Amino acid sequence: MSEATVSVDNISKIYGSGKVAVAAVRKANFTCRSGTVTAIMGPSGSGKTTILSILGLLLKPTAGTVRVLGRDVTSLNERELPELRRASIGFIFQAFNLFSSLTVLENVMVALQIQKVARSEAPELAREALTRVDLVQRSGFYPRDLSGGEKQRVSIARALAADTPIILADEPTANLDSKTGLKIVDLLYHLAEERGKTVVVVSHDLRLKEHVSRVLWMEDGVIHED
Amino acid sequence: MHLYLPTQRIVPMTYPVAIARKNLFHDRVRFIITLVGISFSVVLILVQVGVYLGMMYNTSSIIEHTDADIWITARNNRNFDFSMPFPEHRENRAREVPGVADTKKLILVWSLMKLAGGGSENIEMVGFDPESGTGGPWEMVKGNIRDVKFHRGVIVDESSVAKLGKLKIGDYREVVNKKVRIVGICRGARRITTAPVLFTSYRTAQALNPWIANQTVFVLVKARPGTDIRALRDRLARRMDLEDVYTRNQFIDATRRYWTFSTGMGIAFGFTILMGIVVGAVIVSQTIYGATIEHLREFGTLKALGAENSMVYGIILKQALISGVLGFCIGVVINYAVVRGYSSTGQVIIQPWQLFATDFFVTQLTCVAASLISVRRAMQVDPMEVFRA
Repeated sequence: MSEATVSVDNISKIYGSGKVAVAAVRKANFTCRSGTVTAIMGPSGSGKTTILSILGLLLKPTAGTVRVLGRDVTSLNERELPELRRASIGFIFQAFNLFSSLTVLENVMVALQIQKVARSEAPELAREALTRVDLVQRSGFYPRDLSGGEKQRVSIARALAADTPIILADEPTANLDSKTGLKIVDLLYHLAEERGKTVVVVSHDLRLKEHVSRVLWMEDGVIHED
Repeated sequence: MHLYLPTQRIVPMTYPVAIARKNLFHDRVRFIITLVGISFSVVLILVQVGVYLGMMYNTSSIIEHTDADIWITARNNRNFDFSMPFPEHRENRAREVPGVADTKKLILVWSLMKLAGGGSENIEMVGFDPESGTGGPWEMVKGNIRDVKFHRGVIVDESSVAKLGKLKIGDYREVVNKKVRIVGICRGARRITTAPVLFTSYRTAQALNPWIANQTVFVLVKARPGTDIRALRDRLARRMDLEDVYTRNQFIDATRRYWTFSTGMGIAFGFTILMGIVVGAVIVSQTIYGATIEHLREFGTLKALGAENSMVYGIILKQALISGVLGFCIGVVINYAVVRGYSSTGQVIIQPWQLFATDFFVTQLTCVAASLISVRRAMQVDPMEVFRA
């Protein structure tokens, strides 16, 4: 069995306190392994994005433990968290989150810049990543000149170039047509299978079910296996 | 219907990616507004301070060009232009003080000159000793300084043309109903009062203005070589118990202080300069804050990708500094054009390099301070922001 890279042990996230307290996640337990794509599915407001933020070390759980690559991250301080995030986690966003003023190539290189990759290696690594998503011919384009699917592929190339063991994708198909959406999911699946990445996808797109290794259902903050 | 076909651009690639510069140049309208604001502020500060320094130079130009270590004036005189006369025999008391090498008398009196086409104009008449030239014009354009000794000869500054009309050597005019003859044209003797300056001999000045007969307005003291000027001033002050005694620099300072503080001119200039800084700061902070808000999701993305806060602050600060440097450079070019136009009217504007250095520093400081508001906003960015569609 492949290695467990992310494990969530009894975590809860409660927003607010007292009478206005809202539990976004309730005592969630699951593990994600390398080489697999885990989909967390559920309706809007079920807590999917909250749990993705916790896995991405952007949000601390109110209770419970999160382990990333075997390390308990709940006790890490504000300086250690970006370091671990930089080394371990890549993001793919529903709204792509590309830099409008940067070209496709520069958008990918920014991730390498954050990882402090040397000047001699960065452009080549970025081009390699763009080649994998079949976008190298559009390196000099700006995001405004790309289609939704192309933007998402740039976002994936950015995560690929950073070469982090974990990739978290938030609704990666939401802004795409069904054909492009499935292509993106296939791309993520191959990433996991060929490069041993741990991919966690949050989505309410039921078509994804057939294309991932495992599905976790989430409703009212509670997670259960499909 | 327009068909939009994106084309592959050849974009110069830099690494590390110059996010700050690219963000700025990407939104050209916002960037131009920022540069206009900063350069406006720079021009306002440079021109206002330059005009102020030019005026200050005008207040003290005669003092600065007069070869005297100490100036003795009537009691409670606070500036050069409105000094009262005192008996000229008081000069003898000054001569007796140890350390005094020589003394000269100098008159500054307001008078009226009749114009060629009728009407009259207020003038500042300076009566100096033509033998030594002390207190007289320091740059002659035409004529000889010593010619003021004869036939009520007067020398006018070339800048007087606007008020006195075109004058040439040999022309006659009337000062207080007495004819004077133009014997020379000089340069650089402007007054902050805007009244034209007429140089003549000490005796002619008294003759033209009989109410100051046997009176002088200043006694100029030249110290013996090696004399401690401050100590000499103190000795003279004790001896000249009815007058005020200033070292040269003290008299320059007193005159400038008078014009700066007693006339409200300093407040007016200070207020305009402050406005320049405030306008620049407001525009920069507005535009940089607007740009930060627009790129907030991108900053959140950077943080999500593991960027340290310093990288995000660095981008915002760099944006401010690039705007500041470019805005300053544009401002300096515009200032150059303004100064040329202003100087062509005959006005004095003084802009030493220290003014440019200070303005550059103030501009950058303003831009950095303005960007701190944006940094604060970027710090507060909600990590969940990056997931919002």
